[in-house]
Amino acid sequence: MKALRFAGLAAVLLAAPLVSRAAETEPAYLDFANVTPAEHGEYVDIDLDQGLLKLAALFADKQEKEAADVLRGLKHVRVHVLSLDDGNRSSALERVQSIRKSLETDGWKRIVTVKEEKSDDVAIFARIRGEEAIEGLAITVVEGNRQAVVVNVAGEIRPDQISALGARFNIDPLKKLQVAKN
Amino acid sequence: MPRWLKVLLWAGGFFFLGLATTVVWVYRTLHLSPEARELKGAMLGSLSQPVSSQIQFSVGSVALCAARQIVSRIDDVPPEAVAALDGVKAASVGVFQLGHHPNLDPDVFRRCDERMRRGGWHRSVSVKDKETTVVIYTPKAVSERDLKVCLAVIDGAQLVVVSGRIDGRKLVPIVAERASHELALR
Repeated sequence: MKALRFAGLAAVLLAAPLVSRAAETEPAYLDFANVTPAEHGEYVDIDLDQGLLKLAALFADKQEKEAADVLRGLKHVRVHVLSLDDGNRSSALERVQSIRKSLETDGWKRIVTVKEEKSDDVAIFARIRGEEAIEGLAITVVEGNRQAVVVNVAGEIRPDQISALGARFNIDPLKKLQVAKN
Repeated sequence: MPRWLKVLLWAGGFFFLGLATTVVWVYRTLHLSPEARELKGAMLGSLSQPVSSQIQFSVGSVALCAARQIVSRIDDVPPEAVAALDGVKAASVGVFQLGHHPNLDPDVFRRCDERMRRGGWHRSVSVKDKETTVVIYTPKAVSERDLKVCLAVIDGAQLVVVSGRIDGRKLVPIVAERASHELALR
């Protein structure tokens, strides 16, 4: 059901890019290596670049100005949702750990860590420019043994926009996140 | 050469040119666009099961222009439909019935990428669960006035492939109106 909601969101944003795809050169863009989907489970891969996001901002402008503001500042949104089964669980978990390690090595700041036994394992990283400007967010979630989620958002994000971003893209860990200004 | 023969040859030439154009137009109308065909082929891959076509057609700017003229003379057409028709520049739609829900292997998206990349398409959305697979491709660089999209949906034992060109600016009010209606219902 969650996968279909993502598909519904992406279908609303359905359009071709307005600009050429230059997101890969952005410092906050994560290039996920291919992770093998579970044979019979859910798989979601959403890759929205600046053009699609600007069009989404146009659509959202009339009814959700705050969300439209957030979307206009974004350069790239990538969402990966992967069901885990015996065939891909260990490689997917290794991949999540390797992403987290490389984010820390590349200077991303871990701003949230939640680890509950037999439950969600959440780590949120931010790439911060200067004192306050956030130019990238990376969210990695392992939900029990059932599902792994990796989300990358690149662009100009104000700290007060993070929970709005979570609400717009249905990213649960971000919805509850309130980042203090100091 | 006698004048009458020249006239006859010219008339014959125009006639056969018109006939050839008509045949090509009819063929293209009754078949999918090249990108929709590629996507359909990539999705079904090497599945060995019967595939029967239920609907398959393409319409270009001439047919859509004619449709707009006809619709403008009909009174009861909803304004949303008129605006949507105005925003579409070309469309190709195929609906196919499969023998049974295909057991798509995990590499199906990579296969689609390989074939679609040749035409400059980039995968923007892919969703796969037990009964439904959705994949949406958009080009790497276009303008907002000429937005291209190519998508395929497998739902149960049915495959739907759609490709189209739209004027994004003309569809923004429709989508925004629809979105506000949905939000109001919630």
